[in-house]
Amino acid sequence: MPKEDSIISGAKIKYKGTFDFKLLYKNLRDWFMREKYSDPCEKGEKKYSEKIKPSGKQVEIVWDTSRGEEVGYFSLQMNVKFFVNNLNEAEVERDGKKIKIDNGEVEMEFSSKLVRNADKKWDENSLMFKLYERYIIKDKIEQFKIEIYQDTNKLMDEVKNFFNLYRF
Amino acid sequence: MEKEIFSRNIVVTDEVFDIDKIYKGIKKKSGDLGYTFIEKEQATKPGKYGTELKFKFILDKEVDEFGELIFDLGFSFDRLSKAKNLDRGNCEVSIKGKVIFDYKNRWGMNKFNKTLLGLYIKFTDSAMKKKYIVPLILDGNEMHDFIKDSFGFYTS
Repeated sequence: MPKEDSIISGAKIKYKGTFDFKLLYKNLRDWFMREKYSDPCEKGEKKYSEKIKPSGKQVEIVWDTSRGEEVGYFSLQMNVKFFVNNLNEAEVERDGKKIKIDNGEVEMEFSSKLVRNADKKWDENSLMFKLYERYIIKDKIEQFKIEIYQDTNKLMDEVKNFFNLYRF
Repeated sequence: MEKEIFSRNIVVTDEVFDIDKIYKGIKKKSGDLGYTFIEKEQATKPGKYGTELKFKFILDKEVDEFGELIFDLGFSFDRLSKAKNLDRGNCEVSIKGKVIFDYKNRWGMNKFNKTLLGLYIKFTDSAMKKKYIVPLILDGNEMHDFIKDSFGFYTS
C-alpha cells in the first residue's frame, strides 16, 4: 500500500463579486499543464455538477491531479474543489465597452499530499523498504514535500492573482 | 494529545493600517521564529458598510520527534475602505497557541497507551514546560507584539 503524507489540507479562498468563471477554469487547467501535472479534465473531472436555482447557478467541481517523480516512486497529488453559488451573468463597462461577465460567490478548497511507493513496487513491511526510506531517499522525501507545498502555494497565488486578493 | 496554552485577542476599531504590509509581515515573522507557514483561508466580500476580509493562518514548528508547536492566527476585517494607499476599518485578531504531544502517534492510539502518555507528561512536567510550553509562550508573545506593532499599538 502506498504511504501518504498530507502537506496542505483544506486551504480555502473565498470571493464574492464579479469575475469570469470560464477564464478562471481555463487558467487553472492551463496552470496544471504548465507545471507538468496531469490534466484534471482529460479523463473527466472527478465531479462536475450544475444546478439552476432561483438565485442563480450553483456549480460544484472537483479536480484530482498528480505528477510522478523518481520513475513513479513518488506521486505529488493535488485536489481542488470549486463551489460556486448564485452565479449570474452581469454586464460591466470596461474601457468604454460593455462586456459580459459573471457575478457570484466562489469558494475554492486546496489539498495536497505526497504519496510514496506510488507504483507499489515495494513491500512496505520489508526491512529493505524501511532502510531505503530511512537512509537512501530520506532527502528526496523532504525535497518533494517542499516541492508540493510550494506548488500548492503557487496555485493558490494564481487564484488570488485572478481575484486580485492579497498574496506574498 | 494537545494542550492549548496561549490565547490572545486584539481589537482594532476605526483605524488606518496597511493590510498588505501586515499580511506579508506575518509570513516573514513566522519564518524568523522558525515556523512553517500555511495560509488556511482568505475570504473577501463586499459588506454593507465596506469590504469584509478574513485571513486564517497556521504556524507549525516541530520541536523534536515528540512535540509540535502550533499557532492559529485569525484576522477578521470589516468596514474596510481605502485611505490614500492605506486601509481603514475594524479588525479582530485572534492568536491561539497549542502544544501537540506525540504528534507522530508513536505512543499508540489505544486508551491504555494514552493514559501512559498522560502520566509521562505529568511526571516530566518541568521538562515539558522548559522544552515546549515556555518557548510557545515566548513565541506567542513575540507574534502578539509584532501584530500590535503592525497596527501601530504600544508594545511591551
